Amino acid sequence: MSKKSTEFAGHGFDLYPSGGLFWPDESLLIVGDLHLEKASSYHASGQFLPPYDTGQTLARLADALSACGGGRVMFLGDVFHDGRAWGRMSEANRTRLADILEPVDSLWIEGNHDQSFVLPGHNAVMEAEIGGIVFRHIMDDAEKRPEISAHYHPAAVIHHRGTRLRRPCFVRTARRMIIPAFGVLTGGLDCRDEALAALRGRDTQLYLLGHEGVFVPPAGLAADRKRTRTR
Amino acid sequence: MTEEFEEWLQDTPLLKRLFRDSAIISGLVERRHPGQVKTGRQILFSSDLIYDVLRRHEPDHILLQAVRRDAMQGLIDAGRLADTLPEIAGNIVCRRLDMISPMAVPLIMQIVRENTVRSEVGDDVLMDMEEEIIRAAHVEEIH
Repeated sequence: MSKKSTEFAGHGFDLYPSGGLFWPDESLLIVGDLHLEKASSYHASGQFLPPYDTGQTLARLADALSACGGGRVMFLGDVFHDGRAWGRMSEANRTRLADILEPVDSLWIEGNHDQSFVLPGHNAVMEAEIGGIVFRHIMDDAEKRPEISAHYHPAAVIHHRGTRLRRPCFVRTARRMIIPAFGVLTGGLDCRDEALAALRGRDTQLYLLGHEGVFVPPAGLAADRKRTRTR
Repeated sequence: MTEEFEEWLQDTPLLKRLFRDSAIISGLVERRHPGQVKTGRQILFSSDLIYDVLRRHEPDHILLQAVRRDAMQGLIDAGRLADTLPEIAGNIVCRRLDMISPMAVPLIMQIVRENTVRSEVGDDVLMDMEEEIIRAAHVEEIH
């Protein structure tokens, strides 16, 4: 697994193919949108998706923590797919999550999906500020300080030599960064979507998540008229 | 031969297509019709995704068994292929043609239709893209 490094708001960050963002100076791993128990949330409506997503996402989290060696982890919202997700989680996965969190400090930012639910014994805040950077779940258009957020599950479509690839990605401008969804079952929003209009610009840089590495396409993100559509 | 063949087959997009049929028949996913309005509760999950998850966690799942059977009989008759191979051994003529031979047309069409990219192959494509940009810009790679 190879990471890429970048600078944001005067601080160095490492971007991992798992979708995790690591801040070495703060020993802080930032992950968003785990959406635990998403598959099981569909069972009630008669769609019997295989229920293995939670275990896979937790394994990814454990790997991400050991890969970066971080002592702290920040959850940037939507750790659980809904307010009752914890109740559906298997005992094995609950233990797994507890084991992962035991040796690290965790910081919880409130999401929109998890309906203010946090793991028992933890507290969530709406936003946090560290080293001049604001962390919140959903980007605030009015924010003037550097901001790192999640929520949109950004993804990009790349056409290269006749092959079309769609990959989750980090989106970074001078003042904002949106991190991809960390959960294995999350879907994505095309980063050229209207909802992300605030990120358009020649200096916008995408970081695509590959299997083993993070890849950098040409800089710049402009609305592509042919493909723009509202959801 | 059969084992190796089966292993290879399971990794191809062809099997995923067959799985789509099995998934629809079993009611696991619904067929999407053109113009059909999506209701919030019926978000369609890609059967490809479900296929990958089942292969990883429940390789003996009944739907996967069905797909394997379908593939070995319907898609490629593995038994007949096994009989044929010894017959044509040492008798293969390889010739470079100026144009696609008529018999090969359906095969070429299929390649165009099956454009599913495996994630490992995807990394190579992305790496190539990155290298191209770096070459074009004549700058050192930033790490």
